[in-house]
Amino acid sequence: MSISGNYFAGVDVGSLAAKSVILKDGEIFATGLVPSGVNSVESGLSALNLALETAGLKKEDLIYIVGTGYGRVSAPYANKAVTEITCHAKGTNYLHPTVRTIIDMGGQDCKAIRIDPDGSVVDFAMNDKCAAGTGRFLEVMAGVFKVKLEDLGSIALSATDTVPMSSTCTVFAESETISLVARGERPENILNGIHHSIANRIAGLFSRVGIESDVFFSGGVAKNSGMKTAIEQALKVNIVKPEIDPQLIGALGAAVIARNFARKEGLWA
Amino acid sequence: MAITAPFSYPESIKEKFIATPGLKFKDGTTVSSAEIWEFMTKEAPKRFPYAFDAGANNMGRFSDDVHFLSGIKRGYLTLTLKDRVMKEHAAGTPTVLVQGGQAMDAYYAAGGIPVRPGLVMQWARNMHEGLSLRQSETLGLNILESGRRKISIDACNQIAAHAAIDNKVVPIDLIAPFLCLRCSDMSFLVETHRNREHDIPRYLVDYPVDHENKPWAAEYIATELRELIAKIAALSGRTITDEVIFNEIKLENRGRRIATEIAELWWDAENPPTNSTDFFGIAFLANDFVGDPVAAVDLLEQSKIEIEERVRNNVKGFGVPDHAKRLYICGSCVGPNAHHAQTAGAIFVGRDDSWSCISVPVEEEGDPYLNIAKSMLAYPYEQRTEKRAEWTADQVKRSRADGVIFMYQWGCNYQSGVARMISDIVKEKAGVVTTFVEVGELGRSEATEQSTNRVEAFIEMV
Amino acid sequence: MGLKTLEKITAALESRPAELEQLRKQGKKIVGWLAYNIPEEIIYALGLIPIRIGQGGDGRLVEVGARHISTKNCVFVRQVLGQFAEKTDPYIKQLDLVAIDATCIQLYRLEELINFYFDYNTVVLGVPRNFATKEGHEYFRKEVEFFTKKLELFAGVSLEQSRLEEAIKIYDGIREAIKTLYRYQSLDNSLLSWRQVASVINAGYNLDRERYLELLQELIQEVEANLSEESGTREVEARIFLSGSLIPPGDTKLIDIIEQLGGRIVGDDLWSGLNFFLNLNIKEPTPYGVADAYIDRVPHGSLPYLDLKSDGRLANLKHQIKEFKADGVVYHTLRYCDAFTFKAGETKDVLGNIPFLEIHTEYSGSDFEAIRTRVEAFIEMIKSKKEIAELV
Repeated sequence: MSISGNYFAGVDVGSLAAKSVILKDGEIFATGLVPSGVNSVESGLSALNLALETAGLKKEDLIYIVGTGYGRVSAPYANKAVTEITCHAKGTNYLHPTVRTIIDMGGQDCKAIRIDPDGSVVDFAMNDKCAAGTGRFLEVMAGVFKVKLEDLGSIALSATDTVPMSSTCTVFAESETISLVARGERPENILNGIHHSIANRIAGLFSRVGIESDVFFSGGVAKNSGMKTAIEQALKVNIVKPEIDPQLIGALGAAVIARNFARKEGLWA
Repeated sequence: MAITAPFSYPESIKEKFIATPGLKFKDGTTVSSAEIWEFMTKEAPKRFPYAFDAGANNMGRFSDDVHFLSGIKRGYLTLTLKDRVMKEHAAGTPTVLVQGGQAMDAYYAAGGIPVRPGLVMQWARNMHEGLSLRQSETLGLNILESGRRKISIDACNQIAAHAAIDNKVVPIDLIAPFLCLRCSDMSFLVETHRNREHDIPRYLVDYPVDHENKPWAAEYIATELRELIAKIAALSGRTITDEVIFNEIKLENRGRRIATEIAELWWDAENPPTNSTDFFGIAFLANDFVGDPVAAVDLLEQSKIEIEERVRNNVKGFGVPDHAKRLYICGSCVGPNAHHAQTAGAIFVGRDDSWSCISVPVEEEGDPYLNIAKSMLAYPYEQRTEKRAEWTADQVKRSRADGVIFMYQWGCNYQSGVARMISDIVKEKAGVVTTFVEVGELGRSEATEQSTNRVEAFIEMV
Repeated sequence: MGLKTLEKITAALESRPAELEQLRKQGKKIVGWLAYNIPEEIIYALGLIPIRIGQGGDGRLVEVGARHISTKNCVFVRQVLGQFAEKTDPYIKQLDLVAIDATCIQLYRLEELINFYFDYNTVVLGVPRNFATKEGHEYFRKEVEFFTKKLELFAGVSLEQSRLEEAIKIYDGIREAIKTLYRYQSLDNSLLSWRQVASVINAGYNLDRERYLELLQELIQEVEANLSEESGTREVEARIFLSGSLIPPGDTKLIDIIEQLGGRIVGDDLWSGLNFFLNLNIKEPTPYGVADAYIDRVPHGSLPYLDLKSDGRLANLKHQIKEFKADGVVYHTLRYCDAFTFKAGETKDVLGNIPFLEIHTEYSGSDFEAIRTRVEAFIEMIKSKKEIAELV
């Protein structure tokens, strides 16, 4: 079977999930999402293979592959590696050209990114390593309350009250949570407090880089409706509704960059 | 969350209470005990319901020793701070952000109202009335977070006070604290105000470290005090003579003397005559004066009479456990929850932070600026750590403490830096068990179980 | 081609501990000192051997230090404390006196701790927070005078004006040479890198100062002799300026990451770097003259300054960024170094449009990847801004 069209792929290996997006010329053609394993090369490859399978393509059909995320450093399948900050900027710009501000929350970090109309990064800030504002922290909290990670947001939204929580660091936030559970606070009210405390940390990042409309929320945590609402309240903004799974934005950006690289290197006209 | 009935003062004590003297204030007015009773039983529970939350976690909870009548008046002074300061401010009295744990003589003498970060935070929360403890906490936390967002999460919780000022939640006319070894964040936080739209005049009175046998250290501070007083006087419109300053010094010295006499009485008593909350409240009055030194000193005198009577009759303060373990508290700004400690069988018998400043009266003759400077340099808490720890060990022995807890707030680098060293020295010199605990809850009541746990475990060990 | 003088400096550094041992046997005394305002000229003029102490970047030593201080204190302070606890560092174990200036109060706490726990003879030099005022100057003059008297007692000699004049001459020479080296490292046609200049500075704190000055002059001659004809031959690059908390010897994490990712460091305003050598003009060879000169130079970030517009530290920062033609600023803050951490946002505001990245870190390797991502994205951003990135 002969293949028509030009294919480019982006592979984003994060701490919790590996994602891949294949572009056919300028269109999204296929995607793949798998949980990250201990081996980041294998995780990246499984995500890529899943996308290839969906697309009915072989790896050789891809003109250019860009790796991103924490797994980019060791990604032998990729032609080039680019940071996820640049990729989230490009990926968001590809789908939503009016967006100027991105909040990206992944498994182990959280980023505030400002972009220009071309999708180039103008400024960015990231949480420091001790911050409570990450997907991993939400995972821990889901464990404390014995609920599914994906249900955290809707549980928080059902709260009748917000338990005030400090945002200093994971250690304090965790101990506060345990205190509150011991005291018999309702889980949804505590979770509501946690989401607001994380939103406060994110607002802190934006105090450094500034906010300009439109605002987009990418990364795995963007699927958490409670987090989205808390951020909208903390930043006093409305978040643009995503056109695709917001967890795929980094991989999409990597694929867009792959296409640009291929053009620069004369592999595709 | 379990709903606890709000705290209230029983009608049965009303008659006895209103028969006691009222409180005299610096503007020459007197508030009668009947008026205080009305405020504390009717007005305040409506305006400041959070303060009447009877939950054990309410850090600012009133003393439940309702028969210690001065305690009720202390609550009155605290809860009326907002009204008094707002009224004076409207009449042209400058409000000044100061450092806690330091002498206030210079600020009051110059015609200002000094407010330390803790009181600014409380004042800011009280600007919204009718709040429950939870609502008040949320409001306080929102202010705190806005400060952290702007500066850093590594900052001590006092950043909330700076945020409240910057966000114009409370009107502050001058930011002019004394620096010291007590607080690592103040100088840097004052500096942050230079990059804000709300441009408030600023001044720092430097505190030279390692000042022993260095007369130029006192001269340096004295020169700065002149500058400080001139700045406040320019705002208050007062003419400040040496006599004006000495009058203030004499008044505040009286407060310090009474507080010291109370401590001596209290320590020597067979049974602790008050609970921890009331005992620490007395130290706070003599250190802070809650916006009105005349009223604070008046109240200290009334407190002393009550305590003398209790000691004479061997009355134990309400809430003091039988065979209570006696704990001495070190460190900065934060302290353990008194109610929890009492439940666990302990009573607090002293605190280096508040008592440091009280223990050094200002000389009442000569150059008032130099005298204040010299007393600042003599605070035991501000000495080289070895010397401070030796003083603390003496206090521990004098107060017959069974154990020492060194507690410091997250972000307080100067206290965290010496927590271990002071604990080691005090343990050796006073022969008691010591521990150090880091907490993150300065100015907050929620979620303090972790610190409480550590304190309780220590009490069990003692 | 490498620079021969750099090898000489390395060799001199290697033999220095043994040399010091010999000197001590001959009765010489070593004064270890720390931070920013200790007037080394006076130590030197009294015939004492000044050695600047304190290393960074070693997570294990940080843990050792943390047995005596909270983990919530500055990581540099914790590591230096660890060095004193272990006494295996070839310099630390040979110190006869430790002098610490109270510019940073956490370092003052360090002095108390090493004096109490490890029995070191210590001396403190008070530093005024109100350093720009007349009374602040007066206070510091008295402090330097008192410091001098203490050192005289320790050395058993009196400070002679002629000796102080000689010392000032040597130190002026060193300061001029370091500034010259900074200029050369920022050029495109020089063999010298910022990293090499940093290591030359660090070596200098341990070497004999007269010998060090000779080596610096030799290095300058060698660099000048080897300037290539062409300039601008390098690939388009991200020229990075370092600011913020100190980067002491041994702490190479951030520097390694920047260089590995193709960034080129071209300047700094660190108190452990260039700032130390700037604007120090001793007008009168007396303790008072020395005091005035020290307190009047580029202010240290640990000293608060309440007026933004006239802040000398920020003015210097802006000037140096321009001077070294930097494309972006990496503002490095150590955890619990409040002085620089609290100023990060403000510094960014003041600098305006230049790309600015704050890195908040410690001496453990656990955040290596996280920092790598930030720096990499920062370099991508700079390159993209310079319109040279192939990727966009």
